[in-house]
Amino acid sequence: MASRSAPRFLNPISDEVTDDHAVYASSTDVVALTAPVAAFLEFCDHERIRPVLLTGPGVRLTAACATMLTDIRGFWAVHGPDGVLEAATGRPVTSFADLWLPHEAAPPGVVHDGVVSITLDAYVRHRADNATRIGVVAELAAGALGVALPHRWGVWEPFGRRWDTDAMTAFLRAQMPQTGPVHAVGEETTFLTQRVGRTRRGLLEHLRFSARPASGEDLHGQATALLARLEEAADVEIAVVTTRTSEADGTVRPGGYPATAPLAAVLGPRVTHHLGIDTAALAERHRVSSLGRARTPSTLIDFGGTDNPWHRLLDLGLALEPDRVLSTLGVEVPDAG
Amino acid sequence: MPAELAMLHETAPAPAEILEAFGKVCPGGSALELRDGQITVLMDDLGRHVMTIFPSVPIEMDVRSVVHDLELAEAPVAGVRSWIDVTIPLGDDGARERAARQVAQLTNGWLHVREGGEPHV
Repeated sequence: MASRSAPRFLNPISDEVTDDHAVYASSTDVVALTAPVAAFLEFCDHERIRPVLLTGPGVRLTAACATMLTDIRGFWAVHGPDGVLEAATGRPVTSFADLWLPHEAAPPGVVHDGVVSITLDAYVRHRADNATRIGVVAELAAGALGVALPHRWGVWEPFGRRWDTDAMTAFLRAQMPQTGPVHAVGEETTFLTQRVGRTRRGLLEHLRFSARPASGEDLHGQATALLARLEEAADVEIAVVTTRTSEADGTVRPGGYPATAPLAAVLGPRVTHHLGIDTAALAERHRVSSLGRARTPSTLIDFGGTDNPWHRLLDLGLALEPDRVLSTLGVEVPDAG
Repeated sequence: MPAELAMLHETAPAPAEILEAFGKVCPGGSALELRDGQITVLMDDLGRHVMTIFPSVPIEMDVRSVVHDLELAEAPVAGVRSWIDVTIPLGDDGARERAARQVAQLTNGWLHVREGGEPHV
């Protein structure tokens, strides 16, 4: 039986740690959100240092790994015969700090065509009772997009549990009042991440669901139809639909992809009411419509028909005042300083 | 990490079984538990880092359907129900990987070397 004593090593889950960043050098061809990779990302997030994922040049990141790396503003560098490069642009870096220090815009590198998926980012309210099931909103989204359900889920890859909303709900319930993320994957690019937190007004689920829709035509139309379905069948607070471009199996590889673009958003009836949204005023700058109940309408915004939909989305976000949105969601906003 | 491995089991071993196995492989070795026991760092009798063990990931289906590089594995993959990530620090001359393989075998499992591995998504 081994005994326990003080360690003589720098860090068991990172290959390099400094005051401002940590490095995980992966040796695999496909870097997945395995327990070691997740532990590294959580460590960096907790310590508020920048995570750097260092891989070989021919490597791909799974959707779960890429999503979590992006969510905590991590960096991806590749180490090849030409030295260390920024993965997205191929820009040489002489030290990891070059990844985040100000620099001249890199010339356009390789941009992969990839396949386009629709990504739903939704905050949905649930009653805090035994009848609530987490996963049904994802099933709703899959149905609206005409794609198969995710078929397996887990916290770390390889995701090895069969899709089962009862089992997922029980797993998440055990972590309340605030859960970590669980992920699920399905065919092609289908991927989701969901978290749940208890708020003053019941449970708040944050779902990110991404899938390649059955039809690649009229993505804006599919996005607005998805949001309308969500608004009709779930207690949605805020949801935004964007594009996501990846390889056909959902992975991403070094190089760029066509930029993500917002397609549409919906503000549920509670948010619409609490923010006092003036649909007519918003309609001057956005393609806005009301849907749902006449007395407690939701607000649907279509970002189609604009040259730069991100500008429109940011404009919308500023118009709604982010702190007020968080307050409406029941999310505590820490005091500055 | 320099080497990313996995131990595959038909039944997930208890953490104490892994520690007991490591004690046989590395007499005088020691263990440090981090994150409420989710991560176990195993060290040799000189306190040198040998390997890090992560929690068991349950596998409810044929593991070949979730990881498709298992032709490299020595396990009878259809019966695998537990995947345990193991990482080995920089500078291994093969001894650490051998130790990991012995720990896997002593706990009725198999070692899977993930270098070049390719999990599904």
